Amino acid sequence: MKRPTGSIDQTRGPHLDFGVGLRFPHLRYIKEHWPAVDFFEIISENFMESRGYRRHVLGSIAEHYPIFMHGVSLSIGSTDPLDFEYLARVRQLADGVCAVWVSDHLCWTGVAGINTHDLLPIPFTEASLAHVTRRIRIVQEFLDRPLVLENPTTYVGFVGSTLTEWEFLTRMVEATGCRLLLDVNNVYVSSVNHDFDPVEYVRSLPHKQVVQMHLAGHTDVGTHIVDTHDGPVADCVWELYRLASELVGPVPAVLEWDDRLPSFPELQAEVGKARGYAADGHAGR
Amino acid sequence: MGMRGGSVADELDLVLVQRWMQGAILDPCGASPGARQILTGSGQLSAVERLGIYLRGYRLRLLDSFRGLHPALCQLLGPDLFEQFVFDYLGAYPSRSHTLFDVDNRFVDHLLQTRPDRNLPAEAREGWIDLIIDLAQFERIFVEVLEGVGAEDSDTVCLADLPREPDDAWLDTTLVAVPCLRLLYTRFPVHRYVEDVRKGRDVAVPLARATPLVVSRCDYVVVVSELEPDAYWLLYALVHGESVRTASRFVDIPQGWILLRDWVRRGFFTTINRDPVRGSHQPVGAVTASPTQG
Repeated sequence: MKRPTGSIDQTRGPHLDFGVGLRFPHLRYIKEHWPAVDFFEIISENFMESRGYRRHVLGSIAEHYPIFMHGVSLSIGSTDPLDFEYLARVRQLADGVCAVWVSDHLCWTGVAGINTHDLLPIPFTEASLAHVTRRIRIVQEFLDRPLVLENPTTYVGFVGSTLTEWEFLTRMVEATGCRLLLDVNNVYVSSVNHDFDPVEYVRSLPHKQVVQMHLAGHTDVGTHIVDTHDGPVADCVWELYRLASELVGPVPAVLEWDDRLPSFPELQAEVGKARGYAADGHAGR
Repeated sequence: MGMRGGSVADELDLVLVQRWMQGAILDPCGASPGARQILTGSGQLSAVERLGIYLRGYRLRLLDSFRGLHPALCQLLGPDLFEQFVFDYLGAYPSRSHTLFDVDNRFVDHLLQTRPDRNLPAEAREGWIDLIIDLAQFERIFVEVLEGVGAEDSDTVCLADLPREPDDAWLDTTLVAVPCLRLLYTRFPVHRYVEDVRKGRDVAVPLARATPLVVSRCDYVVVVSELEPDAYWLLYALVHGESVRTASRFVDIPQGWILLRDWVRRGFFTTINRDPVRGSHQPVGAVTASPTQG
Protein backbone atom coordinates (compact mmCIF):
# COMPACT_ATOMS: atom_id res chain seq x y z
CA MET A 1 0.00 0.00 0.00
CA LYS A 2 1.17 3.50 -0.69
CA ARG A 3 1.25 5.53 2.44
CA PRO A 4 1.14 9.29 2.33
CA THR A 5 4.50 10.97 2.34
CA GLY A 6 5.62 14.24 3.89
CA SER A 7 5.09 15.69 7.32
CA ILE A 8 2.50 14.24 9.69
CA ASP A 9 0.73 16.48 12.18
CA GLN A 10 -0.31 14.42 15.22
CA THR A 11 -3.70 16.13 15.33
CA ARG A 12 -4.33 16.60 11.66
CA GLY A 13 -2.60 13.62 10.12
CA PRO A 14 -0.46 13.62 6.99
CA HIS A 15 -0.22 16.65 4.75
CA LEU A 16 -2.34 16.00 1.68
CA ASP A 17 -3.94 18.60 -0.51
CA PHE A 18 -6.82 17.86 -2.84
CA GLY A 19 -8.74 14.66 -3.43
CA VAL A 20 -11.79 13.41 -5.24
CA GLY A 21 -14.69 11.24 -4.16
CA LEU A 22 -14.16 7.88 -5.87
CA ARG A 23 -17.23 6.96 -7.90
CA PHE A 24 -17.90 3.71 -9.73
CA PRO A 25 -18.20 5.14 -13.30
CA HIS A 26 -14.66 6.52 -12.99
CA LEU A 27 -12.96 3.30 -11.92
CA ARG A 28 -11.97 2.22 -15.40
CA TYR A 29 -10.57 5.67 -16.27
CA ILE A 30 -8.55 5.76 -13.07
CA LYS A 31 -7.10 2.30 -13.67
CA GLU A 32 -6.12 3.25 -17.22
CA HIS A 33 -4.70 6.72 -16.56
CA TRP A 34 -3.70 6.88 -12.88
CA PRO A 35 -4.62 10.58 -12.84
CA ALA A 36 -2.82 13.20 -10.78
CA VAL A 37 -4.89 13.60 -7.62
CA ASP A 38 -3.47 13.59 -4.12
CA PHE A 39 -5.88 11.01 -2.72
CA PHE A 40 -9.31 9.45 -3.11
CA GLU A 41 -12.18 9.40 -0.66
CA ILE A 42 -14.49 6.39 -0.76
CA ILE A 43 -18.01 5.91 0.54
CA SER A 44 -17.19 3.11 2.97
CA GLU A 45 -20.48 1.24 2.52
CA ASN A 46 -19.97 1.02 -1.25
CA PHE A 47 -16.94 -1.20 -0.68
CA MET A 48 -17.07 -2.80 2.74
CA GLU A 49 -19.49 -5.60 1.76
CA SER A 50 -18.38 -6.03 -1.85
CA ARG A 51 -16.17 -8.93 -2.88
CA GLY A 52 -16.57 -8.10 -6.55
CA TYR A 53 -14.93 -5.88 -9.13
CA ARG A 54 -15.31 -2.64 -7.20
CA ARG A 55 -13.48 -4.03 -4.16
CA HIS A 56 -10.82 -5.58 -6.38
CA VAL A 57 -10.18 -2.25 -8.13
CA LEU A 58 -10.13 -0.41 -4.81
CA GLY A 59 -7.24 -2.65 -3.79
CA SER A 60 -5.30 -1.54 -6.87
CA ILE A 61 -6.17 2.12 -6.36
CA ALA A 62 -5.12 1.95 -2.72
CA GLU A 63 -1.68 0.82 -3.88
CA HIS A 64 -1.29 4.09 -5.82
CA TYR A 65 -3.16 6.67 -3.72
CA PRO A 66 -3.93 7.34 -0.07
CA ILE A 67 -7.54 6.48 0.76
CA PHE A 68 -9.92 8.40 3.00
CA MET A 69 -12.99 6.51 4.20
CA HIS A 70 -16.28 8.35 4.48
CA GLY A 71 -19.27 6.47 5.87
CA VAL A 72 -23.01 7.05 5.77
CA SER A 73 -24.36 4.34 8.09
CA LEU A 74 -22.55 4.75 11.41
CA SER A 75 -25.62 6.52 12.80
CA ILE A 76 -23.71 8.02 15.69
CA GLY A 77 -26.76 9.97 16.86
CA SER A 78 -29.19 7.04 16.81
CA THR A 79 -30.77 5.77 19.99
CA ASP A 80 -30.37 2.20 18.72
CA PRO A 81 -27.39 0.32 20.18
CA LEU A 82 -24.13 0.74 18.28
CA ASP A 83 -23.71 -1.96 15.64
CA PHE A 84 -20.38 -3.61 16.35
CA GLU A 85 -20.65 -5.91 13.37
CA TYR A 86 -20.80 -2.84 11.18
CA LEU A 87 -17.92 -1.25 13.06
CA ALA A 88 -15.85 -4.40 12.61
CA ARG A 89 -16.39 -4.16 8.85
CA VAL A 90 -15.35 -0.51 8.93
CA ARG A 91 -12.20 -1.42 10.81
CA GLN A 92 -11.45 -4.28 8.44
CA LEU A 93 -11.77 -2.05 5.39
CA ALA A 94 -9.76 0.73 7.06
CA ASP A 95 -6.95 -1.72 7.74
CA GLY A 96 -7.20 -3.16 4.23
CA VAL A 97 -6.79 0.17 2.45
CA CYS A 98 -4.60 1.85 5.13
CA ALA A 99 -7.23 4.57 5.48
CA VAL A 100 -5.86 7.99 6.38
CA TRP A 101 -9.09 9.00 8.16
CA VAL A 102 -12.38 7.27 8.90
CA SER A 103 -15.24 9.73 8.84
CA ASP A 104 -19.02 9.78 9.01
CA HIS A 105 -21.72 12.33 9.81
CA LEU A 106 -23.22 13.91 12.90
CA CYS A 107 -26.62 12.37 12.31
CA TRP A 108 -28.74 9.28 12.74
CA THR A 109 -29.93 7.06 9.91
CA GLY A 110 -32.63 5.01 11.59
CA VAL A 111 -33.95 3.33 14.73
CA ALA A 112 -35.53 -0.03 15.58
CA GLY A 113 -33.02 -1.72 13.28
CA ILE A 114 -34.22 0.19 10.21
CA ASN A 115 -31.92 2.14 7.93
CA THR A 116 -33.60 5.01 6.09
CA HIS A 117 -30.35 5.58 4.18
CA ASP A 118 -30.70 9.28 4.94
CA LEU A 119 -28.64 11.53 7.19
CA LEU A 120 -31.26 12.64 9.67
CA PRO A 121 -30.77 15.59 12.04
CA ILE A 122 -30.54 15.45 15.80
CA PRO A 123 -31.85 18.06 18.22
CA PHE A 124 -28.99 20.17 19.59
CA THR A 125 -29.63 19.63 23.28
CA GLU A 126 -27.58 18.68 26.32
CA ALA A 127 -29.18 15.24 26.25
CA SER A 128 -28.19 14.70 22.61
CA LEU A 129 -24.69 15.92 23.30
CA ALA A 130 -24.24 13.48 26.18
CA HIS A 131 -25.62 10.66 24.05
CA VAL A 132 -23.42 11.39 21.03
CA THR A 133 -20.21 11.96 23.00
CA ARG A 134 -20.67 8.68 24.88
CA ARG A 135 -21.01 6.83 21.58
CA ILE A 136 -18.08 8.61 19.92
CA ARG A 137 -15.78 7.50 22.74
CA ILE A 138 -16.88 3.88 22.27
CA VAL A 139 -16.41 4.02 18.50
CA GLN A 140 -12.96 5.59 18.80
CA GLU A 141 -11.90 2.93 21.24
CA PHE A 142 -13.22 0.17 19.00
CA LEU A 143 -11.65 1.57 15.82
CA ASP A 144 -8.49 2.50 17.71
CA ARG A 145 -8.31 5.82 15.88
CA PRO A 146 -9.92 9.24 16.11
CA LEU A 147 -13.33 9.44 14.52
CA VAL A 148 -13.89 12.30 12.09
CA LEU A 149 -17.43 13.67 11.97
CA GLU A 150 -18.96 15.88 9.31
CA ASN A 151 -21.55 18.59 9.76
CA PRO A 152 -24.52 17.34 7.72
CA THR A 153 -26.96 19.32 5.64
CA THR A 154 -30.26 19.66 7.47
CA TYR A 155 -33.70 20.72 6.37
CA VAL A 156 -35.50 20.85 9.73
CA GLY A 157 -34.64 22.25 13.12
CA PHE A 158 -36.05 21.11 16.46
CA VAL A 159 -38.19 23.21 18.76
CA GLY A 160 -36.32 21.66 21.67
CA SER A 161 -32.80 22.60 20.52
CA THR A 162 -30.92 24.73 23.03
CA LEU A 163 -27.54 24.94 21.30
CA THR A 164 -26.47 26.16 17.90
CA GLU A 165 -24.95 23.60 15.56
CA TRP A 166 -21.48 25.12 15.94
CA GLU A 167 -21.78 25.16 19.73
CA PHE A 168 -22.78 21.51 19.64
CA LEU A 169 -19.84 20.58 17.38
CA THR A 170 -17.37 22.51 19.51
CA ARG A 171 -18.46 20.87 22.74
CA MET A 172 -18.57 17.46 21.07
CA VAL A 173 -14.96 17.85 19.97
CA GLU A 174 -13.86 19.12 23.38
CA ALA A 175 -15.50 16.18 25.12
CA THR A 176 -14.22 13.41 22.86
CA GLY A 177 -11.13 14.55 21.00
CA CYS A 178 -12.79 13.55 17.77
CA ARG A 179 -11.94 15.50 14.63
CA LEU A 180 -14.14 17.53 12.33
CA LEU A 181 -14.77 17.22 8.64
CA LEU A 182 -15.99 20.67 7.68
CA ASP A 183 -18.34 20.41 4.72
CA VAL A 184 -18.35 23.98 3.51
CA ASN A 185 -21.23 23.39 1.12
CA ASN A 186 -23.32 21.91 3.94
CA VAL A 187 -22.68 24.99 6.08
CA TYR A 188 -23.92 27.20 3.28
CA VAL A 189 -26.97 25.02 2.50
CA SER A 190 -27.99 24.81 6.15
CA SER A 191 -27.39 28.53 6.66
CA VAL A 192 -30.00 29.29 4.02
CA ASN A 193 -32.40 26.60 5.21
CA HIS A 194 -32.16 27.74 8.84
CA ASP A 195 -31.40 31.42 8.34
CA PHE A 196 -28.10 31.68 10.20
CA ASP A 197 -24.84 33.38 9.26
CA PRO A 198 -22.45 30.89 7.62
CA VAL A 199 -19.47 33.12 8.36
CA GLU A 200 -20.27 33.11 12.08
CA TYR A 201 -20.57 29.32 11.89
CA VAL A 202 -17.16 28.88 10.26
CA ARG A 203 -15.48 31.42 12.55
CA SER A 204 -16.89 29.75 15.66
CA LEU A 205 -15.61 26.22 15.07
CA PRO A 206 -12.55 24.76 16.84
CA HIS A 207 -10.27 25.19 13.81
CA LYS A 208 -7.40 23.05 15.05
CA GLN A 209 -9.66 20.03 15.14
CA VAL A 210 -10.76 20.39 11.51
CA VAL A 211 -8.77 17.78 9.62
CA GLN A 212 -10.57 17.73 6.32
CA MET A 213 -13.00 19.76 4.22
CA HIS A 214 -15.67 18.89 1.68
CA LEU A 215 -16.83 20.82 -1.34
CA ALA A 216 -19.85 20.03 -3.52
CA GLY A 217 -22.58 21.53 -5.65
CA HIS A 218 -26.12 22.24 -4.48
CA THR A 219 -29.50 23.13 -5.95
CA ASP A 220 -31.60 26.13 -4.95
CA VAL A 221 -35.27 25.19 -5.28
CA GLY A 222 -36.56 28.58 -4.16
CA THR A 223 -37.99 27.68 -0.77
CA HIS A 224 -34.80 25.95 0.37
CA ILE A 225 -31.50 24.56 -0.90
CA VAL A 226 -30.87 20.87 -1.47
CA ASP A 227 -27.44 19.27 -1.10
CA THR A 228 -27.54 17.51 -4.47
CA HIS A 229 -23.85 16.95 -5.32
CA ASP A 230 -24.82 17.21 -8.97
CA GLY A 231 -22.94 20.22 -10.29
CA PRO A 232 -20.03 22.60 -9.84
CA VAL A 233 -19.33 24.29 -6.52
CA ALA A 234 -21.27 27.57 -6.19
CA ASP A 235 -19.37 30.86 -5.97
CA CYS A 236 -20.74 31.57 -2.48
CA VAL A 237 -19.35 28.22 -1.31
CA TRP A 238 -15.97 28.96 -2.86
CA GLU A 239 -15.84 32.21 -0.89
CA LEU A 240 -16.73 30.39 2.31
CA TYR A 241 -14.02 27.84 1.51
CA ARG A 242 -11.50 30.66 1.12
CA LEU A 243 -12.43 31.90 4.61
CA ALA A 244 -12.32 28.38 6.05
CA SER A 245 -8.87 27.83 4.53
CA GLU A 246 -7.67 31.06 6.13
CA LEU A 247 -8.98 30.05 9.55
CA VAL A 248 -8.20 26.34 9.47
CA GLY A 249 -4.98 26.30 7.49
CA PRO A 250 -3.97 23.62 5.01
CA VAL A 251 -6.06 20.46 5.38
CA PRO A 252 -7.11 17.96 2.71
CA ALA A 253 -10.14 18.99 0.69
CA VAL A 254 -12.40 16.63 -1.24
CA LEU A 255 -14.71 17.45 -4.11
CA GLU A 256 -17.88 15.34 -3.88
CA TRP A 257 -19.89 14.82 -7.05
CA ASP A 258 -22.53 12.07 -7.17
CA ASP A 259 -25.29 12.79 -9.67
CA ARG A 260 -24.88 13.89 -13.29
CA LEU A 261 -21.28 12.85 -12.89
CA PRO A 262 -18.89 14.58 -15.34
CA SER A 263 -15.84 12.98 -16.91
CA PHE A 264 -12.88 12.54 -14.61
CA PRO A 265 -10.84 15.32 -16.30
CA GLU A 266 -13.74 17.74 -15.75
CA LEU A 267 -13.78 16.71 -12.11
CA GLN A 268 -10.05 17.36 -11.89
CA ALA A 269 -10.55 20.83 -13.36
CA GLU A 270 -13.08 21.63 -10.62
CA VAL A 271 -10.62 20.39 -8.00
CA GLY A 272 -8.05 22.69 -9.56
CA LYS A 273 -10.19 25.69 -8.61
CA ALA A 274 -9.94 24.63 -4.97
CA ARG A 275 -6.18 25.02 -5.12
CA GLY A 276 -6.56 28.70 -6.00
CA TYR A 277 -9.09 29.48 -3.27
CA ALA A 278 -7.10 27.55 -0.66
CA ALA A 279 -3.90 29.39 -1.62
CA ASP A 280 -5.73 32.73 -1.26
CA GLY A 281 -7.01 31.67 2.14
CA HIS A 282 -3.65 30.46 3.39
CA ALA A 283 -2.02 33.73 2.24
CA GLY A 284 -4.45 35.62 4.50
CA ARG A 285 -3.41 33.72 7.64
CA MET B 1 -31.06 26.57 13.94
CA GLY B 2 -32.64 25.67 17.19
CA MET B 3 -34.66 28.11 19.25
CA ARG B 4 -33.43 28.88 22.72
CA GLY B 5 -35.70 28.66 25.71
CA GLY B 6 -37.95 26.02 27.15
CA SER B 7 -40.75 24.25 25.40
CA VAL B 8 -42.70 21.06 25.72
CA ALA B 9 -40.43 19.51 23.11
CA ASP B 10 -37.38 20.08 25.36
CA GLU B 11 -38.69 17.33 27.55
CA LEU B 12 -39.22 14.85 24.80
CA ASP B 13 -36.97 11.91 24.98
CA LEU B 14 -34.56 11.47 22.06
CA VAL B 15 -35.83 7.94 21.57
CA LEU B 16 -39.37 9.13 21.10
CA VAL B 17 -38.34 11.95 18.79
CA GLN B 18 -36.40 9.58 16.55
CA ARG B 19 -39.15 6.97 16.47
CA TRP B 20 -41.70 9.64 15.67
CA MET B 21 -39.57 11.17 12.91
CA GLN B 22 -38.72 7.85 11.31
CA GLY B 23 -42.37 6.82 11.41
CA ALA B 24 -43.34 10.06 9.68
CA ILE B 25 -40.70 9.60 6.98
CA LEU B 26 -41.64 5.99 6.27
CA ASP B 27 -45.39 6.65 6.33
CA PRO B 28 -46.60 6.26 2.72
CA CYS B 29 -49.45 8.67 3.44
CA GLY B 30 -47.04 11.33 4.59
CA ALA B 31 -48.95 11.76 7.83
CA SER B 32 -46.98 13.77 10.39
CA PRO B 33 -49.13 14.56 13.42
CA GLY B 34 -47.24 16.56 15.99
CA ALA B 35 -44.71 18.03 13.54
CA ARG B 36 -45.38 21.58 14.68
CA GLN B 37 -44.74 20.66 18.31
CA ILE B 38 -41.38 19.06 17.52
CA LEU B 39 -39.94 20.71 14.39
CA THR B 40 -39.38 24.33 13.50
CA GLY B 41 -40.61 25.99 10.34
CA SER B 42 -38.61 28.45 8.29
CA GLY B 43 -39.55 31.73 6.66
CA GLN B 44 -40.47 29.79 3.53
CA LEU B 45 -41.69 26.41 4.75
CA SER B 46 -43.82 25.08 7.59
CA ALA B 47 -42.57 22.30 9.88
CA VAL B 48 -44.68 19.78 7.97
CA GLU B 49 -43.33 20.96 4.62
CA ARG B 50 -39.75 20.70 5.87
CA LEU B 51 -40.38 17.20 7.11
CA GLY B 52 -41.72 16.45 3.64
CA ILE B 53 -38.22 17.10 2.21
CA TYR B 54 -37.00 14.05 4.13
CA LEU B 55 -40.01 11.99 3.13
CA ARG B 56 -39.44 12.72 -0.58
CA GLY B 57 -35.69 12.20 -0.21
CA TYR B 58 -36.26 8.77 1.34
CA ARG B 59 -38.59 7.68 -1.45
CA LEU B 60 -36.36 9.01 -4.24
CA ARG B 61 -33.20 7.46 -2.82
CA LEU B 62 -34.71 4.02 -2.33
CA LEU B 63 -36.50 4.10 -5.67
CA ASP B 64 -33.28 5.09 -7.41
CA SER B 65 -31.48 2.19 -5.76
CA PHE B 66 -34.16 -0.24 -6.88
CA ARG B 67 -33.94 1.09 -10.43
CA GLY B 68 -30.22 0.34 -10.34
CA LEU B 69 -30.74 -3.17 -8.96
CA HIS B 70 -33.73 -4.05 -11.14
CA PRO B 71 -33.48 -2.11 -14.41
CA ALA B 72 -35.23 -4.82 -16.41
CA LEU B 73 -38.13 -5.18 -13.99
CA CYS B 74 -38.52 -1.40 -14.07
CA GLN B 75 -38.58 -1.54 -17.88
CA LEU B 76 -41.15 -4.33 -17.87
CA LEU B 77 -43.52 -2.74 -15.37
CA GLY B 78 -43.09 0.90 -16.34
CA PRO B 79 -42.08 3.56 -13.79
CA ASP B 80 -45.41 3.99 -12.00
CA LEU B 81 -46.16 0.33 -11.43
CA PHE B 82 -42.53 -0.34 -10.54
CA GLU B 83 -42.72 2.38 -7.88
CA GLN B 84 -45.86 0.77 -6.43
CA PHE B 85 -44.11 -2.60 -6.22
CA VAL B 86 -41.05 -1.06 -4.57
CA PHE B 87 -42.94 0.82 -1.87
CA ASP B 88 -45.33 -2.04 -1.22
CA TYR B 89 -42.21 -4.11 -0.51
CA LEU B 90 -40.50 -1.42 1.56
CA GLY B 91 -43.68 -0.95 3.57
CA ALA B 92 -43.46 -4.61 4.56
CA TYR B 93 -39.68 -4.83 4.74
CA PRO B 94 -37.98 -1.48 5.36
CA SER B 95 -34.24 -1.61 4.81
CA ARG B 96 -32.15 -3.05 7.61
CA SER B 97 -29.00 -3.14 5.55
CA HIS B 98 -25.94 -0.91 5.82
CA THR B 99 -25.71 -0.67 2.07
CA LEU B 100 -28.20 0.06 -0.65
CA PHE B 101 -26.96 -2.98 -2.62
CA ASP B 102 -28.79 -5.26 -0.23
CA VAL B 103 -32.02 -3.32 0.07
CA ASP B 104 -33.90 -5.87 -2.10
CA ASN B 105 -32.80 -8.94 -0.15
CA ARG B 106 -36.40 -10.02 0.59
CA PHE B 107 -38.03 -8.60 -2.52
CA VAL B 108 -38.60 -11.96 -4.23
CA ASP B 109 -39.95 -13.50 -1.01
CA HIS B 110 -42.34 -10.59 -0.72
CA LEU B 111 -43.54 -11.02 -4.30
CA LEU B 112 -44.10 -14.73 -3.68
CA GLN B 113 -45.98 -14.06 -0.45
CA THR B 114 -48.22 -11.40 -1.93
CA ARG B 115 -48.97 -12.68 -5.44
CA PRO B 116 -52.77 -12.60 -5.71
CA ASP B 117 -52.98 -16.16 -7.10
CA ARG B 118 -50.71 -17.72 -4.47
CA ASN B 119 -53.42 -20.10 -3.25
CA LEU B 120 -54.06 -21.57 -6.68
CA PRO B 121 -52.25 -24.65 -8.01
CA ALA B 122 -49.07 -23.80 -9.95
CA GLU B 123 -50.66 -24.64 -13.30
CA ALA B 124 -53.55 -22.25 -12.68
CA ARG B 125 -51.40 -19.24 -11.81
CA GLU B 126 -50.99 -16.16 -13.95
CA GLY B 127 -48.00 -16.26 -16.28
CA TRP B 128 -47.32 -12.53 -16.06
CA ILE B 129 -46.82 -12.83 -12.30
CA ASP B 130 -44.37 -15.67 -12.87
CA LEU B 131 -42.52 -13.41 -15.28
CA ILE B 132 -42.26 -10.60 -12.71
CA ILE B 133 -40.97 -12.99 -10.06
CA ASP B 134 -38.50 -14.67 -12.43
CA LEU B 135 -37.15 -11.29 -13.47
CA ALA B 136 -36.82 -10.02 -9.89
CA GLN B 137 -35.09 -13.25 -8.86
CA PHE B 138 -32.67 -13.24 -11.77
CA GLU B 139 -31.71 -9.59 -11.20
CA ARG B 140 -31.17 -10.25 -7.50
CA ILE B 141 -28.95 -13.26 -8.24
CA PHE B 142 -27.04 -11.27 -10.87
CA VAL B 143 -26.05 -8.65 -8.26
CA GLU B 144 -25.28 -11.33 -5.63
CA VAL B 145 -22.86 -13.00 -8.03
CA LEU B 146 -21.38 -9.67 -9.15
CA GLU B 147 -20.76 -8.37 -5.63
CA GLY B 148 -20.31 -11.59 -3.67
CA VAL B 149 -17.33 -13.82 -3.05
CA GLY B 150 -15.84 -15.10 -6.29
CA ALA B 151 -13.06 -17.51 -7.17
CA GLU B 152 -10.65 -15.02 -8.72
CA ASP B 153 -8.16 -15.33 -5.89
CA SER B 154 -8.52 -19.04 -5.21
CA ASP B 155 -7.57 -22.23 -6.98
CA THR B 156 -10.22 -23.98 -9.03
CA VAL B 157 -10.24 -27.52 -10.35
CA CYS B 158 -8.62 -27.55 -13.80
CA LEU B 159 -8.87 -29.94 -16.74
CA ALA B 160 -5.44 -31.38 -15.97
CA ASP B 161 -6.94 -32.73 -12.73
CA LEU B 162 -9.42 -34.89 -14.65
CA PRO B 163 -8.75 -38.00 -16.77
CA ARG B 164 -10.13 -38.04 -20.30
CA GLU B 165 -12.33 -41.01 -19.39
CA PRO B 166 -13.76 -41.60 -15.93
CA ASP B 167 -12.65 -44.67 -14.02
CA ASP B 168 -14.47 -46.22 -11.07
CA ALA B 169 -12.58 -44.14 -8.52
CA TRP B 170 -13.50 -40.95 -10.31
CA LEU B 171 -17.16 -41.86 -10.51
CA ASP B 172 -17.29 -41.84 -6.70
CA THR B 173 -15.73 -38.43 -6.29
CA THR B 174 -17.70 -35.34 -5.35
CA LEU B 175 -16.98 -31.73 -6.18
CA VAL B 176 -17.43 -28.45 -4.36
CA ALA B 177 -18.73 -25.53 -6.43
CA VAL B 178 -17.18 -22.07 -6.39
CA PRO B 179 -19.11 -19.73 -4.07
CA CYS B 180 -20.31 -17.56 -6.95
CA LEU B 181 -22.12 -20.37 -8.79
CA ARG B 182 -25.92 -20.16 -8.88
CA LEU B 183 -28.46 -22.41 -10.58
CA LEU B 184 -31.80 -20.98 -11.52
CA TYR B 185 -34.68 -22.61 -13.40
CA THR B 186 -36.88 -19.80 -14.68
CA ARG B 187 -40.23 -20.06 -16.42
CA PHE B 188 -39.26 -17.36 -18.91
CA PRO B 189 -35.92 -16.66 -20.64
CA VAL B 190 -35.51 -13.54 -18.52
CA HIS B 191 -31.72 -13.53 -18.85
CA ARG B 192 -32.04 -12.41 -22.48
CA TYR B 193 -34.47 -9.67 -21.51
CA VAL B 194 -32.14 -8.42 -18.78
CA GLU B 195 -29.16 -8.42 -21.13
CA ASP B 196 -31.10 -6.44 -23.75
CA VAL B 197 -32.20 -3.85 -21.19
CA ARG B 198 -28.70 -3.51 -19.76
CA LYS B 199 -27.28 -2.99 -23.25
CA GLY B 200 -29.99 -0.49 -24.21
CA ARG B 201 -31.46 -2.67 -26.95
CA ASP B 202 -35.12 -2.81 -27.99
CA VAL B 203 -36.90 -5.35 -25.86
CA ALA B 204 -39.94 -7.54 -26.34
CA VAL B 205 -41.77 -9.15 -23.43
CA PRO B 206 -40.45 -12.73 -23.31
CA LEU B 207 -42.75 -15.65 -23.99
CA ALA B 208 -42.98 -18.46 -21.47
CA ARG B 209 -40.28 -21.09 -21.89
CA ALA B 210 -38.76 -23.17 -19.08
CA THR B 211 -35.16 -22.00 -18.96
CA PRO B 212 -32.44 -23.72 -16.90
CA LEU B 213 -29.62 -21.28 -16.17
CA VAL B 214 -26.22 -21.34 -14.54
CA VAL B 215 -24.86 -18.01 -13.33
CA SER B 216 -21.22 -17.62 -12.38
CA ARG B 217 -18.40 -15.12 -12.47
CA CYS B 218 -15.12 -15.07 -14.35
CA ASP B 219 -12.53 -12.34 -13.82
CA TYR B 220 -15.19 -10.26 -11.98
CA VAL B 221 -17.63 -10.46 -14.92
CA VAL B 222 -20.97 -12.28 -14.44
CA VAL B 223 -21.41 -15.10 -16.96
CA VAL B 224 -24.88 -16.52 -17.63
CA SER B 225 -25.39 -19.72 -19.62
CA GLU B 226 -28.49 -21.61 -20.61
CA LEU B 227 -28.31 -25.37 -20.05
CA GLU B 228 -30.21 -28.34 -21.38
CA PRO B 229 -32.62 -29.61 -18.68
CA ASP B 230 -30.70 -32.87 -18.17
CA ALA B 231 -27.45 -30.98 -17.87
CA TYR B 232 -29.05 -28.61 -15.38
CA TRP B 233 -30.14 -31.44 -13.10
CA LEU B 234 -26.75 -33.12 -13.40
CA LEU B 235 -25.04 -29.92 -12.33
CA TYR B 236 -27.67 -29.39 -9.63
CA ALA B 237 -26.91 -32.83 -8.19
CA LEU B 238 -23.13 -32.26 -8.32
CA VAL B 239 -23.43 -28.87 -6.66
CA HIS B 240 -25.48 -30.48 -3.91
CA GLY B 241 -22.76 -32.97 -3.12
CA GLU B 242 -23.78 -36.04 -5.09
CA SER B 243 -21.02 -38.19 -6.57
CA VAL B 244 -20.42 -38.17 -10.30
CA ARG B 245 -21.89 -41.67 -10.43
CA THR B 246 -25.20 -40.89 -8.71
CA ALA B 247 -25.57 -37.50 -10.40
CA SER B 248 -25.21 -39.22 -13.76
CA ARG B 249 -28.72 -40.68 -13.47
CA PHE B 250 -29.82 -37.66 -15.47
CA VAL B 251 -27.52 -38.31 -18.45
CA ASP B 252 -25.39 -41.27 -19.42
CA ILE B 253 -21.93 -41.30 -17.93
CA PRO B 254 -19.89 -40.53 -21.09
CA GLN B 255 -22.13 -37.54 -21.87
CA GLY B 256 -22.04 -36.43 -18.23
CA TRP B 257 -18.24 -36.64 -18.23
CA ILE B 258 -18.06 -34.38 -21.31
CA LEU B 259 -20.32 -31.86 -19.55
CA LEU B 260 -18.27 -32.09 -16.36
CA ARG B 261 -15.05 -31.41 -18.23
CA ASP B 262 -16.64 -28.33 -19.80
CA TRP B 263 -17.78 -27.04 -16.40
CA VAL B 264 -14.34 -27.68 -14.95
CA ARG B 265 -12.82 -25.73 -17.84
CA ARG B 266 -15.18 -22.86 -16.98
CA GLY B 267 -14.02 -22.85 -13.37
CA PHE B 268 -17.24 -24.05 -11.71
CA PHE B 269 -15.53 -26.16 -9.05
CA THR B 270 -13.08 -25.33 -6.36
CA THR B 271 -12.38 -28.73 -4.83
CA ILE B 272 -12.31 -32.40 -5.79
CA ASN B 273 -13.24 -34.66 -2.93
CA ARG B 274 -12.19 -38.26 -3.44
CA ASP B 275 -13.63 -39.31 -0.08
CA PRO B 276 -17.36 -39.92 -0.69
CA VAL B 277 -18.18 -39.67 3.03
CA ARG B 278 -16.70 -36.22 3.35
CA GLY B 279 -18.12 -35.24 0.00
CA SER B 280 -21.73 -35.51 0.99
CA HIS B 281 -22.08 -32.02 2.42
CA GLN B 282 -23.90 -29.22 0.65
CA PRO B 283 -21.61 -26.43 -0.47
CA VAL B 284 -22.07 -22.99 0.97
CA GLY B 285 -23.33 -20.32 -1.37
CA ALA B 286 -24.99 -22.43 -4.05
CA VAL B 287 -28.58 -21.20 -4.13
CA THR B 288 -30.85 -22.99 -6.51
CA ALA B 289 -34.36 -22.63 -7.75
CA SER B 290 -36.63 -24.74 -9.85
CA PRO B 291 -39.89 -24.08 -11.71
CA THR B 292 -41.81 -25.74 -8.92
CA GLN B 293 -40.66 -23.30 -6.28
CA GLY B 294 -43.10 -20.64 -5.15
